[in-house]
Amino acid sequence: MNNSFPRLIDGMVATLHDSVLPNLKGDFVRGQVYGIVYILNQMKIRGDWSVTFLLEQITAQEAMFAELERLAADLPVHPPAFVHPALSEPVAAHKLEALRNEGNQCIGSILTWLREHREVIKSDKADAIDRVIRDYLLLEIRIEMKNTARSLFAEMSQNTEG
Amino acid sequence: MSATDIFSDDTAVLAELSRVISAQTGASVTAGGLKRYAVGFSWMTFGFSAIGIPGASSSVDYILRVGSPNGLYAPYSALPQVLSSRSLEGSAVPVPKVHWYSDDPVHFGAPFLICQKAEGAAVIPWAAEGTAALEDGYRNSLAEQFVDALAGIHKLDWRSAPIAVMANGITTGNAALKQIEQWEQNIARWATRPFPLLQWATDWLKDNCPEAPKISIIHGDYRTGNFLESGGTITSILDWELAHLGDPHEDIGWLSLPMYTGGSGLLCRLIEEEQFYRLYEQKAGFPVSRKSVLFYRAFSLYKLAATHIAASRCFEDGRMNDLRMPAMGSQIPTALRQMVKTIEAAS
Repeated sequence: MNNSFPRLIDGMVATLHDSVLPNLKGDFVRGQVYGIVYILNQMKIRGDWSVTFLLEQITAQEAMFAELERLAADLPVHPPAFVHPALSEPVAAHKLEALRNEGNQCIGSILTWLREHREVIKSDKADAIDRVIRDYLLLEIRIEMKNTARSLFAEMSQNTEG
Repeated sequence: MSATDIFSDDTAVLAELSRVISAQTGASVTAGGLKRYAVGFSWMTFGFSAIGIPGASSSVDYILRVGSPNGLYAPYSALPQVLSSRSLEGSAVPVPKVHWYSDDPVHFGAPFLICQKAEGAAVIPWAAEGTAALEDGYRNSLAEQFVDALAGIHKLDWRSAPIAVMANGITTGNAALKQIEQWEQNIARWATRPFPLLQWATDWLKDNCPEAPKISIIHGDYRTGNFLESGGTITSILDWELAHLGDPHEDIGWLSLPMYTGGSGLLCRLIEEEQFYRLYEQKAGFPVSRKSVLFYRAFSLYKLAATHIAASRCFEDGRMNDLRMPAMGSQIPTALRQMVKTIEAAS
């Protein structure tokens, strides 16, 4: 998911209120929908994204930055550096997400640096740096996809409402 | 007045429609029977009928499209749809005729256009699990018409057509770069977090721009789902909001995305890939460059990732509560992964 946990809860509650309840007849089933709204509101207070996959991404980011440092050690110019702060348990998911995003911001800066300095960096070293970054970014995607439910987009799009 | 305000009141919408059309035609026109179509993620689409249209002895059915400020790619202009439709009017390409339009928000709180209502229904590009494949005879007939219409769009001499005002210095040498720069700006506007893979891809795309064989009208979202068919005949090509001038390979790259096969292995659930190229080359009159198709397929995945980012942004900002938005946002990684694979295949 690319959206924040609280916003998703708010969106689901709004959809239930605005689109589902007005079209539902029957006290019991309407009551059940109110039950769903209640539990969603409860989840918003107590819940958040799981930290597990974010920690996996951050650990992989750390390994990537360490490898980049090793590759750049003997270069005439050095890429922007990034060091993850030490994490004290437990850390809220939104803070881990911010940390991962800061790491990705730095990756963007390194890509810019690489492009600007290609002429002074030996091509095999530049290619290796490019490869390490790309491998991490693809791993980040794989972790993301592993933690994503099967798409129901076709079912969600089968609307004929007028 | 915001678009949201007036569209909570059907009577107000119909009253404004009556006013707009009466002012445009000089006749006393009454609009009625407003119906909202819950399709698409950007422009709002409504059907209505109008009585008193000059030259019509009975009521006429129209479509009202409004570029909501809450839409996916907002803010909008009606011009791409108007200019492309008016440029193709009278050609063999079935496009809805645009009768009236304005970018002035004074009427409906947002740009709008009113066009003819075409008959038919859209073939859904995404097939739910268990959906049967399209029947062969029906599919082959649609495929022929689908390719025919695309070739017709790309063959049109746009230089003497209304859409020529959108040329903006385009050449066969800069067509790709112009589009890349526009979408790079879109990503910067929509992204809620850094996407270094998109930055990497932007660099690759800029370094590998192909020369276009010619400049054509580009639909921008040509695929199954964006045409209506009735009784096996394509009655209208829809959704021209992304229309622009560019390399015809851009439309081919887009329609060849794996996301539009519906699991069938066929381009847009209609036609086998090499068969498409043979048919298109015959009808369009120039050879398709497979290298350019691969480039534009990579660029299409870049645009698709950007669109999913826009959806995510739209939802996060509270502009829409449509749960398809965050669902699209969850598909960003899939589009990015496909994009990288396509770039690596093209490199």
